[in-house]
Amino acid sequence: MRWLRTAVLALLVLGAIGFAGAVTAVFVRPELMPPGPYHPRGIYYALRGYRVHPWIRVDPVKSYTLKVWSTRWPLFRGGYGYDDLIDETRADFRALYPNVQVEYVLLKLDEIGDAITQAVDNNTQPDVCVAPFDPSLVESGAVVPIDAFMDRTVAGDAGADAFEPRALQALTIEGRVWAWPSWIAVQAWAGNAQLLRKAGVDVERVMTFGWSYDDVLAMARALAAQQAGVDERYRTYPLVLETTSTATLDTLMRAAGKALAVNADGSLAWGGASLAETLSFLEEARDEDAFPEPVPRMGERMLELFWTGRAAVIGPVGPGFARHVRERLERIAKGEFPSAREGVEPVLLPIPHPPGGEANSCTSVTSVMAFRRPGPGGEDAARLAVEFARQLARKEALWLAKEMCVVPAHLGDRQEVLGMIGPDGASERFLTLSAASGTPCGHRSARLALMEKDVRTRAIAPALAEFWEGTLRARDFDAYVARLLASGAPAPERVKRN
Amino acid sequence: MARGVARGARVLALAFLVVTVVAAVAVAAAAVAAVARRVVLSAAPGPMPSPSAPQPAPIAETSRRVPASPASPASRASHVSQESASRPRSYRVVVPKCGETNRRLYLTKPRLKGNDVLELQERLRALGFFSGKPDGVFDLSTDAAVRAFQRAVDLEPDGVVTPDTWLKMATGRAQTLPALTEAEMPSGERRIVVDVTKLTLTLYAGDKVVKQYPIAIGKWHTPTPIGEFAIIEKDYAPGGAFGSRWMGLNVPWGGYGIHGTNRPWSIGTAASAGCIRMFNEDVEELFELVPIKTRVFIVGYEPEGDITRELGPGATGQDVQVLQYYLRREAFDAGPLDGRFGERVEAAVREMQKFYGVPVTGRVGTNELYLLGLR
Repeated sequence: MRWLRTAVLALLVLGAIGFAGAVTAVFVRPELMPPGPYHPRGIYYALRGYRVHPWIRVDPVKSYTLKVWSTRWPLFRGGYGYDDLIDETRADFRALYPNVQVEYVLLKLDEIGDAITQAVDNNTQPDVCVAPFDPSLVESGAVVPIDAFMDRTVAGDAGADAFEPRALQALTIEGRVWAWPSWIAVQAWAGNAQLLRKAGVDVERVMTFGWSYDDVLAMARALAAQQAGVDERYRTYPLVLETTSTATLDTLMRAAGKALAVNADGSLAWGGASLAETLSFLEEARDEDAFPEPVPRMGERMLELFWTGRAAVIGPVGPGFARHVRERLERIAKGEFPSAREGVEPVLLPIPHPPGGEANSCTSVTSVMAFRRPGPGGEDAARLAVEFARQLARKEALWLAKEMCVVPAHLGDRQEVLGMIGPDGASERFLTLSAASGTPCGHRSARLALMEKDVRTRAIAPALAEFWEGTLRARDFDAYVARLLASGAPAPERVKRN
Repeated sequence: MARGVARGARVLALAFLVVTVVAAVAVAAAAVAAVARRVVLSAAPGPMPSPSAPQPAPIAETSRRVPASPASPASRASHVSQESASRPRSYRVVVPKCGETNRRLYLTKPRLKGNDVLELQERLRALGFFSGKPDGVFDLSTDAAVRAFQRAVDLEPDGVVTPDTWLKMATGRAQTLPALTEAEMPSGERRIVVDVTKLTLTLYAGDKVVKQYPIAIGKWHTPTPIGEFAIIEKDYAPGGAFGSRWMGLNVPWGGYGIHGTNRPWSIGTAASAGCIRMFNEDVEELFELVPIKTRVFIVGYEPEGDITRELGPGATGQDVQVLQYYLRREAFDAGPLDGRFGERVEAAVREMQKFYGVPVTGRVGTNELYLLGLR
């Protein structure tokens, strides 16, 4: 009997050792065991609180339908547009999962943020959404964290170290990554390098290290000195800025490190020294005759002045601007604009910062989020959603980088499009450098965005309109805004002056 | 002496009175005659008012009188016969403005000029009666050609080109395609596609091609408008150059339409003043198959024109159509190419402005022209 006990014990020990070895082996090489509820890696991530991970089993005979919300990018070149990209992405995914249907809903550029917030509030979220990251969505519990899918055993070339660290950081809350970073847009102004050089600006240096308000004013003075006695019709202007909205002030304040106009408690974050300094810079530029008249409407002529070689700097410009530049340069090269000026050499420029401060490029990371469907179960669909989101994020970024001069967040993919980001090599360096070192500053919760919108509409925009009209000085701006906010009155109608 | 003066004054007063009464009677008679003539004119389908005549009454009035497409060929036939029997009455004659006129052509000073004269000269030349170069001016050589033609076809050689003269110039045309009735129409939304490069008008029901007709389009200097429009009026009896049916389109910069013709030889050519001409048999058939609001897509080449003014909500015209075309080419959804700056166009302009980062105004100025590559 004793030998029997010993044998059973030995078998048990051997079995335990074998089991532990098998578990360890599967843990180290998860592909040794098919996904399922008992997969060691799956159990490991489940214990860490991840309900959706790559070891959830996808039923090969079940039909899945993924709903994807995205933006219809108004880009079409050589017979290829966003619809074609969608078809390709869908086909690629179906090659992996033939039982998955993908349905797209395409929304407008500025609608998708609000739409996804509302959908999450109403529990009607899609499976996948391409949008600027909104941290407040994470609180809803509907967003699926993607860390488990970055596990080195399954991530392939989409591990955490494959992405731009700043972009990943922008999508990380409490140690978890909540969306696939797709691409990074850099806020910029644009300049005519030839004019800037004439005004003594070291353009390459500015594009690499940034420039301060003083540098811009020095450029304005140098250019103004060369313009003495030149008729108004032929004058060259140092700065042509957008004055019909708060966009110019937004970019300047962000470059000054004040990304948000309001604090979390609703109080005004813009104010004090930084606001006064920024507005004084604009005021001084105006006093130096750096802007074309009428100043409140100068932005409406910005492209005409730029392309006729009469504007040294215009801004701010959207991500589509670089595409416009590239298309126009191509057409000029083909001789389609015989009257085009030779002296226009477009480059993207960083937003100037306050003197003494550091260059602070502001970026925004567009991400692809995956959502859980309401109710119990659905982990398998959520896993498919995360995988589709990963594929979409990279494919869209590669296409947009070539079309729109944005920077792919995936470092490997970025190598594929080098030479195609930005209208010229220097601008490409500026964009990629800013993507790596800039501060993601477009991300705020829907609640904060709403508060900001209210403050902008009620106070900042009307005060800025007065400022551009010349009826409000920089030193009085702060108090005027505070007064408008305190009055609680709706925004005054802006008087149109022709 | 005094009595003589008084008598003279009496005679003068009497004469004045008589003259006044006669004048008043004459004026009244003229007025009555004018009213009577207007009544007769309005009750007859006959000659078209001149192009300077008042604009047509609201569309709905005409549309109401155009009956819905009958359900069967029999009902259609009975409807047409009833219509032709009772046609005149208070029937409003639509004045198409596509440059076609029904004016009588003859030698006069100053000389009559226009597309119709040009077409007359071209036809007379084709028939061997006119040897000059067609220039659109009704001059002595044209007059001689008309008279020669009238003599040859047993018309009174008065040199006046009336609808009868036009009809005599037609060499006739056999309907080559089998007729189609409402009952044979497939289901689905009906729409018309006019291809100005192929000179065809295709009727669709859903995605199915129902029938394709030959057409004539505008000359190069009076082109047929390209774009997406709709039928907004229908008329049974436009007559003259407009043939037997008229279907007006909502082109914002002119009264263009699809109509029949009294110049069937022109079908298959670029001959009209911008309208779409069809054989009368064809337009009569089509007329019954397409209701008011049927969408008409005129395709073939890029809309032409420059944008020389600032465009904003409410603007209409060819320049708006050019804008819509370029917005669509840039993948912004500017709606149908109908030449109207409506909400969709404004939204598309705003989207473009946001995308490129220029001031978001919803209007089209120099920035937008640069973005669209029009400057």
